Amino acid sequence: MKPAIEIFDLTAAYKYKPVLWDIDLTIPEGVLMAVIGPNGAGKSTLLKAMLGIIKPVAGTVRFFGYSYEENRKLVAYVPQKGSVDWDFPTTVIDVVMMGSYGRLGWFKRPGRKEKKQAYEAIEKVGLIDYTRRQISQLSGGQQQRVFLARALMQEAEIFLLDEPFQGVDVTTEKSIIKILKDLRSQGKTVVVVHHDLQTVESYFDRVALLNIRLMASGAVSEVFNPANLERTYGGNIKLFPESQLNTQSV
Amino acid sequence: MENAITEFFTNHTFLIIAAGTSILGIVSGMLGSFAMLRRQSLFGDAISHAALPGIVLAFLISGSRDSLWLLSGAAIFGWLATLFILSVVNNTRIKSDSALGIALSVFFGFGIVLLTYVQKIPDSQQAGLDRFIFGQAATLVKRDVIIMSVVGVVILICMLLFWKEFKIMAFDPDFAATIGVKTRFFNVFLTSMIVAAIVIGLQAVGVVLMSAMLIAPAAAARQWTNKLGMMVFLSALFGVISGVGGSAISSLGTRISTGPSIILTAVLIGAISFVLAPERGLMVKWIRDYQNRYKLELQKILDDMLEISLQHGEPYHPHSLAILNHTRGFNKKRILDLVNYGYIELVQGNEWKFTLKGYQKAQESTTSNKFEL
Repeated sequence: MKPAIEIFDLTAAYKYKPVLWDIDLTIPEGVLMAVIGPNGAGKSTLLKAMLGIIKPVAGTVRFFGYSYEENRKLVAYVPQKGSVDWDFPTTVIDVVMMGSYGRLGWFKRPGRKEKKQAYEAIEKVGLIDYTRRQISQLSGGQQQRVFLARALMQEAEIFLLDEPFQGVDVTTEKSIIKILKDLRSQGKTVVVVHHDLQTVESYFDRVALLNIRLMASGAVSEVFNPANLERTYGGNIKLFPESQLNTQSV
Repeated sequence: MENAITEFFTNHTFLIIAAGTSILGIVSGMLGSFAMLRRQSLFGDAISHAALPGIVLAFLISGSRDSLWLLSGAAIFGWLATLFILSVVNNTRIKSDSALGIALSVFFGFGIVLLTYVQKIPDSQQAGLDRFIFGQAATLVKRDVIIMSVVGVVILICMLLFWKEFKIMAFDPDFAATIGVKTRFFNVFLTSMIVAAIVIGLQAVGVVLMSAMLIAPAAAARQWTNKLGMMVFLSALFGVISGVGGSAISSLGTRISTGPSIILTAVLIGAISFVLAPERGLMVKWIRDYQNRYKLELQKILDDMLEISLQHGEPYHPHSLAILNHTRGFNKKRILDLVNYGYIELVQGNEWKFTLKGYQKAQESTTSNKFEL
């Protein structure tokens, strides 16, 4: 069986400064994986380079053996919330419907079928009472869920999420992680850029530790340990005491 | 007088001008919405100023004052300015706002130099190139209007065909790229249409003020709706009203240049929208803020009164008004309002005591933190 995602020798740079260096990473199908690392480690860049939003200097990425250009429909991307202007004149249902644009092709507008699907996605993320709301009138957590609903609308096999828990309250975080776990149990592959080390063990089954280079990756139980964290975060972080790491899992 | 006005509006020249400025209004209104949402407002200003040297050079090269020639020159220079700005931003440490400033002044300065040079050439005065600075709708002829409508119709069709791509490009370009929208192509496409919209407005509005024609109707339209389609429609409508209204004011013997009177009409619509629009308007915001503030003040005074009377142990015992004054800031008007609402009574003019209703209200407000009058 083909792995969901294969990354070979991926290197990316802003101007002259390398942000990702020679990443080799294989992600099996049906996992919920966190990408962690310090600020500036290239976590978001990794997702963007995988999708060609940033053109890599070198390397290839395969989704179920296809390049992204060959089969875009396999992958849904959830950008950081801060990447758009939330005062844009549009409503929740409208944004979610954008998830269907990719498969509609030229000149076609979303129709009844897409609308029904959008309602289902909105229902799933718990925003059904906000369907017609202008998006600036939503809280940060609700905005994040709008993006998630748009991704669900894409009917993808692989989901790449950039910091979906940034600036959301605990309740929203729980409901988002529940949706992601549901996706995993449907056999989808989910990769999440994450910054909260406390929750890695309870949320994810796999983890990649990144600091420009890939420091470690694998099952959380195997690679999420003080030695690897130290290598990834260097002196910038105080490691938790051993005992705390062990008692974290819920 | 009435006759004169009727005659004016059925006048052939005015109909041409009205048609021209309507098309201009529609096109700049529609594309202005996208320019504004994509934060390209200043960019429009740079492009329109940069069109001036293009116009004069086109005249020098072709020797013709035909507007098709002149506007082609304007479009080419609009594009040159765009490329100039992009290369400055990409290759130097200069930020985009400075790059826009540089492009605007360099190109416009060059245009003025060329213009003064041209005006010294014998027989070139009649070309009337200086009308492109502030705009003169009266110089529009039937052929200009035909050119404008062709460009307008092409833009309208593109807009309808690629609506979903333009929308997603404006809202979330990164996401657009991931679902396979050719972002590079659509960037160039949208920018070209903005250049085209600017160019067809130059004759009536002029290079100096044209960017306002992109932005004012769009900003006004944004106030009234939360839907992109409606915003683009309203923006086009406001554009038409400004175009026709402005040129009417200017043609009615006021001797104001068309450009400024069109822009002032657009700005007037904008000002009205900013103040009066429901939801986003300033008026609604002022009223809402005032009401909330007022309620909050009453709630706070009731709260303090409850605290004082609880200290005393007996809720309906009168207390001196001066107590409220010492540490809590005493607002006599608000206290009289509380009397009017029947929450407190005044005793001998310098003491207050709770009414039953007021005491209940105060308790309710402290326990639930909700307060309605």
